[in-house]
Amino acid sequence: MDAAKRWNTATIWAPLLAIGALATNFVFFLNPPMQATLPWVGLALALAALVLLGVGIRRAIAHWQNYRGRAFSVVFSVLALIFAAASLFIFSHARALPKSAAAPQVGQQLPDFTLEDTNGQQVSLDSLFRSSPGEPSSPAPKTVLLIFYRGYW
Amino acid sequence: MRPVAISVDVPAVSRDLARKAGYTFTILSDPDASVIRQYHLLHVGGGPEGHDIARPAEFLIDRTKTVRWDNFTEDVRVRARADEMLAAASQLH
Repeated sequence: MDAAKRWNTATIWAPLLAIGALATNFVFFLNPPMQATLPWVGLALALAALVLLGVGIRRAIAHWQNYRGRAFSVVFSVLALIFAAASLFIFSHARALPKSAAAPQVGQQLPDFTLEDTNGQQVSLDSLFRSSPGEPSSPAPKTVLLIFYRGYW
Repeated sequence: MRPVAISVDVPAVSRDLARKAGYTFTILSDPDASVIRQYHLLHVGGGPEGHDIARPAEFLIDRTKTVRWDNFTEDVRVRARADEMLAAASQLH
């Protein structure tokens, strides 16, 4: 008789939370305010998914005869594990950055350098503070924002 | 405030990026990462196929080339927002 059986809801919520954890990676592209909290939201969702996965497995082992949809529960549990593991992998990989302790600090003066721009011109740091050659009437910039990025986009 | 982007990408790649993304600001190439190394921003093996690249960082400098504001993200997914950088710049003008 199936009347008394219920769904093992922990194994339904686990993959949903794990999907939520993975989904936070797409929210970054929306450039929201307080995006520095997003990695931690994703981490919390992934850990919560793993906790519920454990709860679901424990319940399944202890009272397997009480639950319905056992095949689904197995599939959901495997998905939860895969998605949570993927989310944790992304978290650790995205934060695997060098400490850069010796990098320039506020108040430090930067040495000059010369690098090639997209037009093949050699450009020095000093020259960046002069008016753009293409727009001689524009005011010379008071500040320069150096943006070091990873490349390989 | 004049934004200037720097990476290990060669000028041809940066030109392509600027064209596709519609960027009009200056993009400089540091293919052997000499400047990146000089500024201690090297991320060894951080690029695809283990290439050395820059870790993400921003520096706002004045005409004396003194750093007035910087940003070192701890997570490559978290980028400095344009409004934060503009606010930092406006305090110097």
